[in-house]
Amino acid sequence: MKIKLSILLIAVMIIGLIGGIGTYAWFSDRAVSSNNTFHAGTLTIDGDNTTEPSPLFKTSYGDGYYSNYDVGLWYPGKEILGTNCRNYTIENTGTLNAQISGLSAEITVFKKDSTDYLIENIDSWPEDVKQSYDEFVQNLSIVVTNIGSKYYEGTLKSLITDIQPLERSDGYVIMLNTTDMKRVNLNFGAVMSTEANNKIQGVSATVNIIIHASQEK
Amino acid sequence: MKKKVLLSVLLVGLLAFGAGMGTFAWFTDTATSNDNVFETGTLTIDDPGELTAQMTVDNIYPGWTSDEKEITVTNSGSIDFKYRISVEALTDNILYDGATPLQVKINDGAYVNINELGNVELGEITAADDTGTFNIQFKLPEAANNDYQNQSATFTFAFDATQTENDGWTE
Repeated sequence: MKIKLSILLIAVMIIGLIGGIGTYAWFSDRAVSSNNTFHAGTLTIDGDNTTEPSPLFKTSYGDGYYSNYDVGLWYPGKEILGTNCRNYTIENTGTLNAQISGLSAEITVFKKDSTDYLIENIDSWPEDVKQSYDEFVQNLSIVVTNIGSKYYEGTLKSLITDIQPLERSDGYVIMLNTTDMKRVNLNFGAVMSTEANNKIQGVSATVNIIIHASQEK
Repeated sequence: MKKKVLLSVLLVGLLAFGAGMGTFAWFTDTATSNDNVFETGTLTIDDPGELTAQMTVDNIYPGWTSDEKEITVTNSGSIDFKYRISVEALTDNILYDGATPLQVKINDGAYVNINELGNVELGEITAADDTGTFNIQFKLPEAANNDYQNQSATFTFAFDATQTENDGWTE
């Protein structure tokens, strides 16, 4: 009987102890620091042809004022370089400093024998059209300079495949701040290699040229 | 026990760090010059037709000379070109490779044996000009003997055209 009572007493103590763990209390208080506001800046750039016609490259801009900018037809060896380059101004319109980081391109339409071929259907193009397309993008190069320094020279194929860095040979990149150095004038040229063969005769490509910017790194 | 807790805390810390490494991002934006058109030209030289058309080339004889004929060549493409003429070989034909073969004269050049014509450059035709001309004349040398009687040959002349900037003639 005494043992049973002892066991019962111990059991009650244990239960009481466990129950008691959830009922501890301490004096406490809280102070609040309000109105801490985090506001992200913006990184935005705008591009403009300024006084020149848009787009940068076009066979003919018509018979009017801009006819002097006509690129004409392309052929192996043709170049648009130096003083014939096209100007494109990039402006930092955001609140953060920006770095002109890269260049890429996309072809939206490829035309051969008066037929337009959309890029999204490239897998179903006739073989001769694919060959013309390959020959074209491998042999047309885009050149980007600024104040005589080259920031990029590479094939259209490279630009379509991936974003290519826009930087000088010494690693210098163009920075645009939000005050006195918020604009840069990039000069765009193009070259058709003399290696291009007859497969590119009579074709045309409609190309979007994309300039990439990122926050200062 | 303390060591086990410390190890657990360390492990949790490492996992958190590893997860954090894959989540770097930068603010970015783009500016696009849309709809740039790159259009290539075409280089096309038209077949000038039979050079001997309207030329009397039947019943020729030693000492015979044809009329001088002006041949018109057309640039029907959109790119200027330079062009040249040559003749395809005609094997085992006395009028081509006999001892006294047919001879041909291009523009102000001298008469040459037709099998020694090689490539003769004829100048340039711009896409704007559309056409160019050259003169051609034939003769059978007086030294051609009786072996040439009743012989005939049909010649094919080739016209190669290439961009004027091309230093050579190949593609």
